[in-house]
Parts: sequence; C-alpha cells; structure tokens
Amino acid sequence: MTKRWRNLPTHIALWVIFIILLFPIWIMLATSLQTYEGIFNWPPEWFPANPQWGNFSEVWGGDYQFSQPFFNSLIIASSTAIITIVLAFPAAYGISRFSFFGRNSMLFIVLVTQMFSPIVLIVGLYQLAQNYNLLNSLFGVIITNCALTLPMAVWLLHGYLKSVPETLEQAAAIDGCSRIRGVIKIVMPLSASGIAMAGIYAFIMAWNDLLIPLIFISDSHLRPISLALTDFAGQNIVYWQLMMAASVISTFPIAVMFSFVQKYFIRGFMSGAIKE
Amino acid sequence: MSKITSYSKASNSKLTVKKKKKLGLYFSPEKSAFFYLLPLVLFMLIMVAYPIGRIMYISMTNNIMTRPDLGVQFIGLENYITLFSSVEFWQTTARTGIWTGLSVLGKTAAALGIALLLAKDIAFKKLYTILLMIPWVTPMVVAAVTWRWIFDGQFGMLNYILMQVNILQEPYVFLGHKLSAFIATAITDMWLGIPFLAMMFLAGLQSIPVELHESASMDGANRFQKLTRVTLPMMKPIILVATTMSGIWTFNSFGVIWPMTHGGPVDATQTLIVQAYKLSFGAFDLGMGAAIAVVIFIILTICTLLYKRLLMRQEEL
Repeated sequence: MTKRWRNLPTHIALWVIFIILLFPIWIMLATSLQTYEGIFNWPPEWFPANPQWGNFSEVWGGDYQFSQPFFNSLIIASSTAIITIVLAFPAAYGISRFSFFGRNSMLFIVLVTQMFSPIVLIVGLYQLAQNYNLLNSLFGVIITNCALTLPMAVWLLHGYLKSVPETLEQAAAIDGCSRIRGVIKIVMPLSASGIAMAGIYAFIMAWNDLLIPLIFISDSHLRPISLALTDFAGQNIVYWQLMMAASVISTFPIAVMFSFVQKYFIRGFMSGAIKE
Repeated sequence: MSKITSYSKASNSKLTVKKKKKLGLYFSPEKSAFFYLLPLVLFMLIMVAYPIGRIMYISMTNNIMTRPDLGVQFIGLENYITLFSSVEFWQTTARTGIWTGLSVLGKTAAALGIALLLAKDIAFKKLYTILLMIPWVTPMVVAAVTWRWIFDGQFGMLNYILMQVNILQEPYVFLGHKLSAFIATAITDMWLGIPFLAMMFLAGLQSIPVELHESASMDGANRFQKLTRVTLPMMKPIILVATTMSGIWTFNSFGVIWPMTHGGPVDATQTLIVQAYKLSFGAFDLGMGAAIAVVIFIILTICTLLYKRLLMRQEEL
C-alpha cells in the first residue's frame, strides 16, 4: 500500500509521458475502426461510436488486397531469419571457440557492416542483380536483407556463445563425440534462446525495411507491406481508415514475436550494455 | 588425451599444427575455424565487399542508365568535383547533420527523463516497461504513415488539438511547409527511437551502486546535486555509446522520411540517404549516386571507429 502510493508524483509524470508516447497508437486503433465519413467528422471521434470491424476484412481482401503484401513480407522476413541463422551461427561459433589470424579485424568489419545503410550496398548490387535477374524477385530482396542482418546476428550470437561453457563440449569429446556432433547436440540446444533472439532480430529488420524493396521490386504482386503502405499513402485519395487497419495488421506479427522474446531482449540489453 | 588438447583452443592448436605440419589440419572442423567461417565469409565477399568495391568504381564513371547511348566512361574524380562544388550537396550534408542532431538530442532527453523516473522504486514497473516498448515494436513505415495522418493538413488530430487550445485559427499543412515538415519528420524518428535509449539508460542507472548515492546524501548533497554530480557522470560512458549508436541509425533513416514527405517540400527533408536514392534511382545517374554512397560509406566508417573507441573505453572502466 505504501509502496504503491508513495511515489504519486512519479506515477503522474509517467502517465503524462505515456499518454503522449502512446497517442499515435491510439489514433491508429481508433481510426482503423472508423467509417469513411467518420474520419472527416469535426470534432474527431476519440472512441468510434460504431466500430467498423469490417475495415480489416476490406483492406485484407478488398481493393487494396493487403493479404498479398502481408504474405510477401512473411516470406521475405522468415527466409531472411533462417538464412541469417544458418550463416551466422557457425561463424559465431568459430569466432568464439578459435583464435586465428585476423580475428579482431573480422569482428571490426562485422561492427562496421552493421552500421551500413542499405543504399551503400544497393547502388553496387543493382547491376549485378539486373544481370542475374534478381530484380523483381523476392530472393534478391532476401539476400540483400541478409547482408545487413548477418553482422548484428554474428555479434549477438558471439556474445551468447561465450557464455556457453566449453567444458561440456570437452566432456563430450572425451566420450568420443566429434566437434560438429557436439555443437549440434550440446551447444545449439543450450544457445536456443540466443538463436531465437538473432532470428527475431533479422525477422524484424527485414519486416521493417523499405529501401531494398523500393529499389528491387516494381511488380505490385511482389510488394512487401512497407512498400505497399508507402504506395497507398501516396495515392490521391487516401482512405485513412483502411490505411490504419493495414497498419494494425502490419504491426501485429511483430508485436506477438516481441512479446515472446521481450524478457530476453531486456536481459540482453542489461548484460550486453553494461559490463558486470 | 589428444582430443582434450585439441579443445584447449587457439595457440595450443596452432602449435600442434606446426609440429605435425599437416595442411589438412588447417581445414579440419575439429581444429580450425576455417570450416565455420567459410560460408559467412563467402556470402559477405559477394554481398558486401563486392558492392563496396563496385560503388567506388561506379563513382568514377559517367554512368547514366537512361542514356545508354552515352555509354559508360571512366572519368576519374570528376563526379566528386561536381558533387563537392555543388551548393545542394553541402546544403544536404548540413541538413542531415542538423536533422540527426535534433532527433538524437530529443530522443536522448526524453529517454533520460523516462529512465530516471522508471529507475525509482515504484509499483507497476513491469507495466510501464511494456508500455514503453510499444513504439519500438511499431514497424518504421507504420509509424511514418500514422504520424502522417496525425500531421494531416485537413483532418489531422494535431490540427484539431492545436485549434481547440486556440494556438491555430485554421488547419495548418504541417508536411507542406519547410520548417514544420523538417520538425515533424524528426519527431517521428524520435518517437521510434525513445524506447531503445530509455531501456539502455535504465540499465545504466540500475548499475550505479546505491552506496554512492547514500554517501552523497550523508555529505549533505541535495537531489539536484546528486543528479549532476553522481548520476550523470556515472552515466556518461553509456550515454555516449548509446547516442552514437542511435546517431548512426538516425543518419541512416529512410523509412521515416520517404513515406512522410519523399524528401520534400522543396528538399526540406532531403538527407544524404534520400539524395543518394533520388540520384541513383530517380534520375538514374548511377555515377553521381555512387559518389554520394561513397561519401556515406566514409562517414559511417568514421562514426563506427568513434563508436568502437567509446565502447573500448567503457570496457576498461
């Protein structure tokens, strides 16, 4: 009781901040349930009197056909996550278990690449992609995304693998287990949450990116959600209630994923950000 | 026994290799990192090293995709001379700096405030942390589109609120005027970046030993003095690292600016990234676009070096 109300001014300050911070989310949800006429009502309705759940099915299957970009994004983001893990996990293992010539410079290159804007790579990749028919294909978008998510994934997994004790592998080796078998049977299960975190990181990055599909994709059937939303917002008449319904749909998968790993993310920040 | 030594890492395994002089060991998955790194290195050579080499080459050519009749000629540093002598480029560079600075400053201040409040021993901490995460979960383009609706010149919520409190007499087209569009895009970017910084700062605040605050109170320090003399100096390394990181992300921001304003009105929100995109894939002048991409590459590399130094200094502490 005392703890709950002792810091009343702090709570009030936090509530004011959160009302401002979450205002756009409220607008997004409220508008997504409006009618077309309701949007132009003055004063605007803060709580739609008569929520239009039909907006969601209309944007999903109606003129906007939002299901198409949604599934394209799903394919792009999950493929990016899988390829990122397949390439990053062995590399992170190699870096954390062996020391070799150029190890430190390799870690530095990883750090620099992680800071790149996609534009630095795409201008150089464009003509290569043109020659190999990767323009207007999801595959081209996926591998370019991977180039940008891999460094951070290696960095994350490297940090995680350092905390998995090597003695377990050594014990397995004494029992005659090869190193690769040891990695698959012992190290991978132990680092499952690290792998999940790196995968979800790659998924979110690929889901969010606009620049790569903007350049690579011109066929409207292959647009991911980021590009589709940008295109809808650029049209002459913007149906804001449908736009906001599409926005809610686009946020949903990321929010669900995030809620699963939220605990690890916070813990990862705590341990990654501060040396204990 | 030999199996155990093979696991005792690095320098040891190198010695064994030298003794036995078997080339195969350099590639053995038991004893060398080669096998584990090969896929990543090959991928990064094609997808990162090649394009960077390629933009350096393209930036020294006259390469306009819509004019194949002109061909592609090697012109040395001519593109760079054109670029560095154009007023537009320097304006864009300055604008990018101011936009990034404004956004990072806003984010840092807001995040520090939230972190200081959340670091207190309060109830519902978990609920607040979850609420704080929400802007972070929002995809960048969704945030840009939602804010675009809030800033809408006719029926946007911001116009309604400002007219209710009598600041505005009639709706204002926020994204149609230079200064307001500049600030509006920066606000959207701040909104997206606050949660990450606040979580970092919160973690930093919780790592400050309680004894420091106790001894400061015993010496008679008041709250403000404790904040400026104890908390902020202790937080300095983490603030520097987190804001540098956030600054690099903000510098790279494209997903906020493009859906909101396309770099307009009259280039008011055109950053270097937007200009590189417009030149390469709007005007299809790959040579000039690549020259800007090289400039971006150099700026980012310098910032990363700075970031690495800050990170290492923090680790020494």
